[in-house]
Amino acid sequence: MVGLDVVLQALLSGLFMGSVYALIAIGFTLVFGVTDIVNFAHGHLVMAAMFVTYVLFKLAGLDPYLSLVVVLPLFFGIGALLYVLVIQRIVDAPHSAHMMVTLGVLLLLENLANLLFGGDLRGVTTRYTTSSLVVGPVAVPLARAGAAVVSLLAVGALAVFLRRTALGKAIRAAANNREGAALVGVDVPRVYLISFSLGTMAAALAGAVIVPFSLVSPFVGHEFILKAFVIAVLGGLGSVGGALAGGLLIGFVEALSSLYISASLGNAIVFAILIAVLLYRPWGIFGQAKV
Amino acid sequence: MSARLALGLAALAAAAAAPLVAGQHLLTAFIVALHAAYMALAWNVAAGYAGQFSLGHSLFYGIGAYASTMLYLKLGLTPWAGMFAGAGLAGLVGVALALGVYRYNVRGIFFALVTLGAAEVAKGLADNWDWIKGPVGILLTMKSAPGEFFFLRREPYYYVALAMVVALILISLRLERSRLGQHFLAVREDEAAAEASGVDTQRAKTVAIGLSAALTAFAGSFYAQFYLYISPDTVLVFEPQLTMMLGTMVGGAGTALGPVLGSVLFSGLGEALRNLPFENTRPVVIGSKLVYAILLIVILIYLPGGLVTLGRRSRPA
Repeated sequence: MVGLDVVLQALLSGLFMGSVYALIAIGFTLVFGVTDIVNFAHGHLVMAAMFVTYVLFKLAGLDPYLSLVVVLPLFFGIGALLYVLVIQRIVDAPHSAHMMVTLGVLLLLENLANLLFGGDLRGVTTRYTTSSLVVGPVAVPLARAGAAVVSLLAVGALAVFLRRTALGKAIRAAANNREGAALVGVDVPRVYLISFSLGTMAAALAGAVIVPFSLVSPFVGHEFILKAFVIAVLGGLGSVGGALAGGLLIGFVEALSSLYISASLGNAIVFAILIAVLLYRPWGIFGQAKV
Repeated sequence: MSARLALGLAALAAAAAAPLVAGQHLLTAFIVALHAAYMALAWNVAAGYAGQFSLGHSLFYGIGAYASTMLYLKLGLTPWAGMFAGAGLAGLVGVALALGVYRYNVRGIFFALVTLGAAEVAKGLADNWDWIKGPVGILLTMKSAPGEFFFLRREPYYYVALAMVVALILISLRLERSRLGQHFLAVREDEAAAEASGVDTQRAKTVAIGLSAALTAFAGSFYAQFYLYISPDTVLVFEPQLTMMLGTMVGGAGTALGPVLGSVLFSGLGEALRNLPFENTRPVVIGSKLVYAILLIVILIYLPGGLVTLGRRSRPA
């Protein structure tokens, strides 16, 4: 039997990683909710941001949190560029075209990273990479806690932005009903561009803050996109609140399954849940059926 | 029509004569291209003709690889027969999956995600299944035993792969003209309209997935016999699925020649580049993949019907 302190420790690590997953999934689900595009390259955008953060640390000695000043605007721009050059041209194409073209972007990012950095896993060691704070029976790893706090703050900021600002309302209007939004004066193409860029920026933020405790290779994106799929579906595709709950749930399931069963079996269980949700509640565990 | 037949026969003759002039490296590239073309054609049956965009075909590929291998190792059944058993099993799994999925009316992107999830579940289970050696995988011994689908030279593998591709092209052409094939197309173009005009769409979709799954399994068995090593990380991952999709979508989904064209261009050329006579081919190989990624994006944006539509006059969508 596993001790209670070990379980608590696992739950804590699930909470931390789940928060980061939630941020990644929210970027993904925002893009899908608004533009109807399933962005297979989303996980690879996390990977790309990890490499940029890595390079800034290695070359300029910039701390991953400080490097956000560069990474966030850079990836908002990359998102915008990607949208204008590629995504915009297939918005009205069938889903199969969305999947293939974003797979093309995935392959582009992966092979570009492979060409520049090679296939090995790389990481950085910051002053706080191995630091932790002992609280009662558990040790709180600072780097992971920091990533979780930043992720949750970003999720909150995004939620406030979508609810309170005019642009946020325009985004939600376009997500709800594209033609209707256009009729009442929402600049739909601009909203699409901004949503895609914001989604890309969310991926980049998550990528940057996990650099202090995660290794990066050109291939880590696959794991992130699979998580984003599962979380977004659990939460109901397009739902920001659902993605937050789904992210935490997956974080806990992952942490506990690695404790009690093997990680690969835990992965199988996660996908079995995904299938069950898709069959019985395609609008997500936490979502409501749309009429 | 007869001009097309003559062209086809000429291409076949050229392909049959290729091993006479190609070295072993080039022959490997040809085998990889033919294998990819076969996989693409098999996926195309469901995704191209019937519009059922599965992302979980690695599951059927893996079933084929493991079924023929385990039957050979445990029961001594020759893989020549084992591959048919694998195809039967994959077909059953495909039908079961389709019945479950279509019963709940899962479509489009949700269908893609369910099938992707099914393949991921299979990989997780395979990783934890000791009887099939889990993540370690299974190594087959290299030997010469033509009756058991083992060859020391590349030529026999090449001809097997060629025969598989030719057979599947013929099946695809036959399908295009059959009533079943017409039902597939009707489902793809407009499911509600097909249903309204009397097509049993559930049945058509289920048959499409089952048939496509069974055909895909043969490719898995071929992989096991050619590479002599299978593991969840080689046959149950997204890689085979990607090979199928790239070839099909680049060449032209829902056609009998598009998947072959796209696969030869993408997989065959990539493999050929790997054996260039340089010291360090790595930048060339990765660079070519980079070029492929860009090509894929450009082709799908500007030629959504794939390369086969290049020669045709553009039709109104």
